[in-house]
Amino acid sequence: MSLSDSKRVNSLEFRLQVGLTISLILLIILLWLFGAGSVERLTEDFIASRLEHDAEAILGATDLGQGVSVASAKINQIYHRPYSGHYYLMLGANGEEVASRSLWDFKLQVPRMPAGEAQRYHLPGPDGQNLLVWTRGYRKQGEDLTLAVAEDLQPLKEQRDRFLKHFALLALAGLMLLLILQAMVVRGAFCRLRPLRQDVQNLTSGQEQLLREDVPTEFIPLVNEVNHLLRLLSSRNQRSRNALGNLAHALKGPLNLLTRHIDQAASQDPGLHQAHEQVERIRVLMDRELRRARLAGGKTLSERFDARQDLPDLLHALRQIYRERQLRIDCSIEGQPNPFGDREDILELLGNLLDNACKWAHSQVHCHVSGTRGLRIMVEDDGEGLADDAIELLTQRGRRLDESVDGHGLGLAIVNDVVQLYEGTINFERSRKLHGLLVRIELNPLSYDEGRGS
Amino acid sequence: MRLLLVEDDQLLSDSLKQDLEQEGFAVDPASQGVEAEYMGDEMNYDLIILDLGLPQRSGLEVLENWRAKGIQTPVLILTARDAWHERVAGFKAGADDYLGKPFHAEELVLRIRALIRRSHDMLGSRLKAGGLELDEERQQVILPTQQRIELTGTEFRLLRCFLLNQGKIISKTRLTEHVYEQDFDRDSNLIEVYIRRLRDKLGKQTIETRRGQGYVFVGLEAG
Repeated sequence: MSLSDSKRVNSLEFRLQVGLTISLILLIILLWLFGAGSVERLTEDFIASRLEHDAEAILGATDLGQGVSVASAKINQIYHRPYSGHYYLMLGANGEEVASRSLWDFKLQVPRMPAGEAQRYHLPGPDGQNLLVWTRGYRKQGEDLTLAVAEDLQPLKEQRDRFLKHFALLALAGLMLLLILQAMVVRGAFCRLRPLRQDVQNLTSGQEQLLREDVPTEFIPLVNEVNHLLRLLSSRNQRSRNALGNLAHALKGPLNLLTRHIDQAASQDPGLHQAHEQVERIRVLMDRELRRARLAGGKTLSERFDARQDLPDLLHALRQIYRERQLRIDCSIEGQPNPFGDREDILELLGNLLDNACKWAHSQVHCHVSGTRGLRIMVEDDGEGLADDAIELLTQRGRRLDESVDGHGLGLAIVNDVVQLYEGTINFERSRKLHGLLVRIELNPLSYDEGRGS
Repeated sequence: MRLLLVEDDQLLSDSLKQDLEQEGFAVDPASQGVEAEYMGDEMNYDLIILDLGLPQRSGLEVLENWRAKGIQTPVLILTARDAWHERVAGFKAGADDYLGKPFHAEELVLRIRALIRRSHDMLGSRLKAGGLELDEERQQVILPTQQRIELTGTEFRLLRCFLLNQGKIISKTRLTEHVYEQDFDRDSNLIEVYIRRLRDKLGKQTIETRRGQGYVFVGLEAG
């Protein structure tokens, strides 16, 4: 059995379908058997009771004056037409036999019956007919008589068979219809599990999102359990992120004192220049690694970046920082970008990008954000920009930004880290409008956001 | 100029206080949030340096409370928490500037000066008013003739206060507050002595006395 087969057999949907199908088929077969038996019994009973009535009539028309004779005018004409399918045979006490004319030359073998006893059985008739025979013993005017009345069952049997055939066809059609209906119902019920399956798939692809709780009641305990675990995981991640922040805070204090100490000492002793450099290096390294460690990648339960709300706040901050230089920092948002990624990550990306642009701009920085599902960012300034060969260096694949261009260092390095984390692209070119550097960034929608989108 | 320095790292706080006093600022230190908020409420500081990670009440909360009460003192946030989302939150709470740790003392001083000038609506990077310019690095005053006059520490602090508040009446109490440390013996006669010395150096008419109210710096042109 292949893997997919075994998976199929194990699937709840498959099992339900098979179980329901088997029970439906059994039900239909039982119904058919019962129906067929009932029809057979009913027709035989009906015919037998008619034979009984006919027998009364024949007995009434019997005259025992000279031997046994039947007044043929007093009974149904059908008994006189040869092979009509309706027959009788009267056995007298002295061995005389009176057969209906319809029997013609056919000999019906009927045992004698004691008076008052009756019997019903099948006998082969003339012309391949199948006869139902009703026999009863009578005592009339002191003589023992046995009267057998028979009727051909063939036409009725044919009719019954036709009925049973139609019934079977109808039942088969009904079964098909029910099976299709049942398949649809089962599938419909399992459709409600599809969001759950999607959520779980997202989970396996590494995203911490809570499972939706609008699932069938049977699954709610499971979903609750998983969500509980997820919350635990997420809070643990949050704690470790916080711990990193605290570590940064704790490390920076002593480093600050060291910086100050060396700053002061270096003004008197130029030999301390090396120490000053090293402290600066520690500072830069620590800054970069801590920032990098803090990036979440939008896979946690954290807040999303909402351009319409967060961008104005960021611009307010930048305008305050660069107030002295009276830069014109403006931003345009195109369309209605969905909340995207991790708010802290995207703010770090945009903050560094815009800060860098502000540092190099003469008087103007422009930022453009668009994209409804992913995020497209364009930042340009009117500074010197980069030489064409430097732009070429930056766009080379796999090159670390902080190694390649002086001055555009750390900020762009963290920008690059975020872009890589979100599997996006970054491009540098000369701005046609402002003549400085133009950075284009495109971040793809995460499958999480896609699931929630629209 | 009186500054409130809110910093919970005692060593850093002490060394910063020393640096800032050398630059002619009177510095009141505070090491925890509730205390800092109270001091900011009660005293009319020229600037507040605020750390965010404080015991008892976070710096951000303290700042939000001040702004909610209408206290418009310029606030410079000095913190190790310098991720951009933290900066955005800081400015949103009402900060005027933000400096990440570790930092160089010179940069902090430059930013403090800029912030103080800005809060007195003074444009440009120099402290200039009434025909006088103050060289904050060397603590000298520059006359229109480009002649430089040396100032003592107290004279420098007084003159800076006057230049930033040209044309406004400054009470003797306020001058004392902005020139001396909290625990200094506030003998108001001493202020009069320093004002006389400034008048000797710059001309009698530059600083006018308003009886019962205080002093007004009118500048050289008025005379």
